[in-house]
Amino acid sequence: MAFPQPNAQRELANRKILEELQLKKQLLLKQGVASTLNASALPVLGSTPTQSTDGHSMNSLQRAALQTANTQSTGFFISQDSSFGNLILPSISGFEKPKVLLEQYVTPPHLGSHMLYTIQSQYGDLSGKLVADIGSGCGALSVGAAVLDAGLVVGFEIDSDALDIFSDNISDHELTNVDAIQCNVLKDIPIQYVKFGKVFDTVLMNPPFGTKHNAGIDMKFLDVALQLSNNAVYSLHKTSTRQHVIKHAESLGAKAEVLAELRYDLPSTYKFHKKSTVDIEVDFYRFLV
Amino acid sequence: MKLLTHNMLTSKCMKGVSVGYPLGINASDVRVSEVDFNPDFIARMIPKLDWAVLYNAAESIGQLEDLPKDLANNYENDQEFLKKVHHVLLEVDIINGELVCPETGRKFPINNGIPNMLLNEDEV
Ligand SMILES: C[S@@+](CC[C@H](N)C(=O)[O-])C[C@H]1O[C@@H](n2cnc3c(N)ncnc32)[C@H](O)[C@@H]1O
Repeated sequence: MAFPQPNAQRELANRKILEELQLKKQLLLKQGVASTLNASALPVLGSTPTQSTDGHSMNSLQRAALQTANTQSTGFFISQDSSFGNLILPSISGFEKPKVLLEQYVTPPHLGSHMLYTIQSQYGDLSGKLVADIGSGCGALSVGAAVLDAGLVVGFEIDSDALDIFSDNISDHELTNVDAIQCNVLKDIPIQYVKFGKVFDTVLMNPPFGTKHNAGIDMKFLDVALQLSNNAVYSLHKTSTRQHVIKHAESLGAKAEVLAELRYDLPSTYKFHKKSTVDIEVDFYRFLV
Repeated sequence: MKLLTHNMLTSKCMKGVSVGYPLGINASDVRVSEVDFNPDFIARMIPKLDWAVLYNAAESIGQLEDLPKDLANNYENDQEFLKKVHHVLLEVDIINGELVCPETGRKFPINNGIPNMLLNEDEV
């Protein structure tokens, strides 16, 4: 399960990928995958290979990066064309020894890329914004938001091991618009609410979905996210809880909108399952504060 | 840890602490790294800041350079000024050191650029 330490070769590949991305970024933003998303016809992203892509074929370098990612990863990268997902998110190192209780797994690159593109190209909520990523883990969402020119991204994470990998990912990608704070977001999030509550423009999260022991933890994350944001919160929650999520958001004065239904291939450790991954249905939300 | 982040941090989640702001800074390693300048972002952040806290924080770690003590009028259009604020807010990075609760003296270590604000069970 462990990720090999970054080696020189991979670092070089990362750098090349980044250079490539800088050139393509504007183009990508204009032609973003978000055009495939609209509220009336919810697309199902994930295991369905029929999704139209963002129109870029991979070059050999990108293909190699994806291959490397696939062989080095824990088996839940989706081989599906999405330039951003193939370029950036697979080059992010994952948890070395995921802690089951903290529900540590990385947002699959393909889904992460769709989320981030939608957030930027449909709503303009990343570029030039103050962004919080709560439960930031190894930084999949933070790195993506930073690459898309957030003013500053602040990751909030409880776990030191995850934060070590987070730091490596930030420096591997030579990003300087990212910060992190170690804290328990459910107990002692150290942000000045009185004076600075709602200081963040955009809050991102892929919260723990909760198990028998801590059911409803994703709603607690949502409470915190809505307190921090002066505009919008983007999050993932299980489709099976949709009614509850929408009601809960409304009770906090926020408007919930499901932007897409995703098929999320969760590593099976979290399901005590025989197969290596388990598909679960997850909604991608935008909450307007 | 950047000074923009410091500007919004508090220790008020601790038992018995009422404001917990601003946190003192003891910096043992400060690094300056280049960050893309986005004047609109900086102009939008300024009204959210506690200016005096920013000024004192920069001064306490020897990174004041020529940041004015008072906020300029019409700063939205003052590129020179915005650039200075940009530098102090985003380019100055505290890599190692500690934050200090102004009420209890409790220290929060900063390692590898990340402040550890976790509290023990008996502190909350
Ligand atoms: C599902 S993972 C998502 C990781 C990352 N954001 C991503 O998208 O790949 C959830 C993360 O939340 C963290 N976490 C769980 N409970 C937390 C808490 N109370 N405070 C802060 N972080 C927490 C876990 O350590 C884990 O890194």
